[in-house]
Amino acid sequence: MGSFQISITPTRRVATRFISLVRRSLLKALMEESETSGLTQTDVAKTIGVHRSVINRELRGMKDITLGRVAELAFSMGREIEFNLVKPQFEMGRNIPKIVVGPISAGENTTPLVRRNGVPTVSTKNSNLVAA
Amino acid sequence: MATITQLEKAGVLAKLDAQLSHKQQEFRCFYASQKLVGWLQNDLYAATSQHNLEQTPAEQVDALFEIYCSGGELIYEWTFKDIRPIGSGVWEFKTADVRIFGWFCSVDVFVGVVADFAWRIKKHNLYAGYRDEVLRFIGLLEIDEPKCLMGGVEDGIVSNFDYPDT
Repeated sequence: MGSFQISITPTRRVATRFISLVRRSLLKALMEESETSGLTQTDVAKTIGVHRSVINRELRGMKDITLGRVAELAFSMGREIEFNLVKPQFEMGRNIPKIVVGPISAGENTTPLVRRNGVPTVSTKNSNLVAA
Repeated sequence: MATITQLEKAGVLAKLDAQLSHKQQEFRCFYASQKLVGWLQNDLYAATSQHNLEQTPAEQVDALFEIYCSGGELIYEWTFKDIRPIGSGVWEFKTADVRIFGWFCSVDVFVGVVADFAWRIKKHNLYAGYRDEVLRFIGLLEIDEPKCLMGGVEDGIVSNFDYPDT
């Protein structure tokens, strides 16, 4: 029988996994605050002004969470949201940055060896050795 | 008797390809019976959420499989749970609309046998029936002993899990 997949479109796969990630991040933050300061779902619900069951259903995935509610939940937990859209640094089939090797000129600004992601490599303003 | 990999090669079980991103690695494995694969590839796609969620049942399952296979943190009782009587060895994976029943043949290696929609299971009280179906499947499966990990969530059957704030 081999292997099988859940066949959904790439756009919906990204969407559903993002929704899941946001929900898990909120839940993780609540768990951490619960452990450090005793914050409960009831406290969060009171701050936002809804019933605890609403918060519970949203965190469990039984109810959709709006972007506004994400911010309200973060605020009620004393957290700030960082939101960035970044270009992917990696490509499929490659889990390290692509190294383009070219001639190396050892100028004044050359730092012979530095560690990038724990791997010794050359970093210099004059060098053509770049991470693409 | 055979290993889980031999059963996969023989076509008795199929291994889930969770379509992890290039930044993720498979830390947990999910195998499925032929019946479950058929359900996931047919019944699941036709369904819409009974909770009017943006995520369809198929999308919910995809997100669940991603977390599970990539080794993400699972929430006991919210995303997975042992079926009563506790210690029978039968577990369920849960989304808002879907339940998947099966067992752990080793740590972080789950074999799903059967699945259904949550509303249907609750309406017709099908938990015991599905639990027994899993136990029958295990009994008939020619797999190396121990066929099934017994015990509860604290016995190390699943890595990286937590309890919900209640």
